[in-house]
Amino acid sequence: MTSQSIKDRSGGSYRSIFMDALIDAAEETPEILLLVADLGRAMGASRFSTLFPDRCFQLGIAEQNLIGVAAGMASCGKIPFAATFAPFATMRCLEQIRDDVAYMSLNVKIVGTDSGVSLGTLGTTHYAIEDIGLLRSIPNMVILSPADGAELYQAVFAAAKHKGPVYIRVGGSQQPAAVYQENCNFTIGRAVTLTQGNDAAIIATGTMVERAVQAAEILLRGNIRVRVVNMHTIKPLDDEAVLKAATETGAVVTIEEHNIVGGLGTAVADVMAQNGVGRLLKLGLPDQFSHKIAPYSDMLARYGLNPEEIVVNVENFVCKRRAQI
Amino acid sequence: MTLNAGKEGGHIGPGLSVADIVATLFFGVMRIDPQNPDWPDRDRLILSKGHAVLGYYPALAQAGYFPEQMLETFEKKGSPLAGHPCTIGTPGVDFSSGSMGHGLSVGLGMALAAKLDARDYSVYVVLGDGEQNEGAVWEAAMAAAQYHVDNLIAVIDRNGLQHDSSCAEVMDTEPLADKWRSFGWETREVDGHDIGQLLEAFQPEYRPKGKPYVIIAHTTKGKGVSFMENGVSWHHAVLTQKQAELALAEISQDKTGGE
Ligand SMILES: Cc1ncc(C[n+]2csc(CCOP(=O)(O)OP(=O)(O)O)c2C)c(N)n1
Repeated sequence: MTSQSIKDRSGGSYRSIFMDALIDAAEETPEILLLVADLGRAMGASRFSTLFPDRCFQLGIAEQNLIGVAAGMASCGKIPFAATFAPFATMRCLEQIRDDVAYMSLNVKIVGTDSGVSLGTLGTTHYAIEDIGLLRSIPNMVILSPADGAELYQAVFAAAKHKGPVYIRVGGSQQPAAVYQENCNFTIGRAVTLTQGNDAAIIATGTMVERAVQAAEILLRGNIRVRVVNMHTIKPLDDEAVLKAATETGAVVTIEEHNIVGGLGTAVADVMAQNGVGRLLKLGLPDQFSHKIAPYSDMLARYGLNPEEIVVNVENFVCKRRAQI
Repeated sequence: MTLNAGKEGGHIGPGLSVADIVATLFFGVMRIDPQNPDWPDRDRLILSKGHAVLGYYPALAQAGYFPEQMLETFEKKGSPLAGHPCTIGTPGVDFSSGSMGHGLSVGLGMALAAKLDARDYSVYVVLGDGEQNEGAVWEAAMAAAQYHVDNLIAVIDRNGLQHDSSCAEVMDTEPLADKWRSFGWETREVDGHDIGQLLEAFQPEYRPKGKPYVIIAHTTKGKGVSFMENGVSWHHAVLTQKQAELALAEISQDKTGGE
């Protein structure tokens, strides 16, 4: 995709950028299919089915069947993309994902849109804040969590090329805040360092990457140089990038729109602890259900995931760390 | 409430579709004590199609579980009144829902517990017709027949639409009544906007002994508002001030016209 077309698409939502990418990928790769579970309208599946009427399947509100059917198709050489809202795409059918997809290492691509707390006022049943943790503990799974529209576009192509199960974690009806002005180079499993710095490293994923970049800019004004690492692949994790960040900065902060238990922070902690390097601060959603809802942006603010609060947390962390040295 | 929710919008079509069913249950059928929402002998209601809260929260408020002003907090920051009902924080909600296909299993559990405790309450579970796609609905249907529960009553809001399109086009569940019958359930079909027919269907003499009972209530998604009726795009929508006024005018006219 040219940078021009990224700009053309700048008004698109996560959902529609996913569909743009899938349509373009499907033009190149005839094995690509789209499977939906009565949330196709939300992501513009009719654009796909108009172009490829035989390659789009509506399975109804039946996510276990969705994944099982995808597994069967993949076993016959197809590349099915099973797409629905993230909580239903990952949790309702978790055993199908493990037994029928991952265990067989089948070429199924699961796309969870509206992940994290992006469905704000719809409440907990519509949040996916455990999906990374659940899928990360399943062998063979690849987990992609792109940072913006340009990267999402690339991630869809990368997922299609990769042989084996992939989960792509996508936002919802919001327009992604751009991290990349130009084309990005997307390689599964290779983190991208966005800013240089050795006072601390922020390792972020998905929607939090752009906020991390903003935070780093603010911190720079206070003379704290922060390295921002975009960890777009949660599994396989780029251990090398984590170790480099931990040894060179000594202070690593992870940020994710996910439960701080089991997600990116936990994955990074594993690597750091096993190698005995650096200190870690995990930012993300607390390990609790919220019984009081709020619109999306207020939900993120409630849990301190605004650039301003990220700044305060990083500052305190860096100061504490300096005091220890 | 939808207007008040601003750009968050609301599931208005599903709410209007189910409102008569829910109102009939609360005000004509169920044994409840809103001052005592945890009363062990109360009848239970599970809104398994949990997105239809716009047809549910107002009934809870009107029954007296919480003040009507609380409805104004719907989908507002810090409110318990989310787009799907949650037991924790909202008095009168017997069970949280939102992900489709859970309610009938939970209802069966409550019905079996009643038998264990020799209590005589009934459990009502309101399901969507698109929700019938979920395998879990049929797992519960099978188990309910196996256990001969006659204190579990399912009501299907049969409006013929689901999210993406019509039920027939998305995933056809017809012949629906035959399916339930073949699973061992007593079935009855009614006009889900005719309060008389609904009330009658819940009468004790129609309730089967020794087997579960399902009422298929034929409804109209977006009922009462001409420009919303049977409209797929009104499944979840944002309302303008003008649309809200038109809708309210039509609904209140409907009331005074008397059905
Ligand atoms: C397990 C699950 N999958 C998908 C959804 C998203 N969803 C919410 S409502 C709906 C359609 C419901 O159709 P129906 O049961 O017919 O109810 P209606 O709104 O038409 O009354 C869908 C797919 C969900 N809530 N739960």
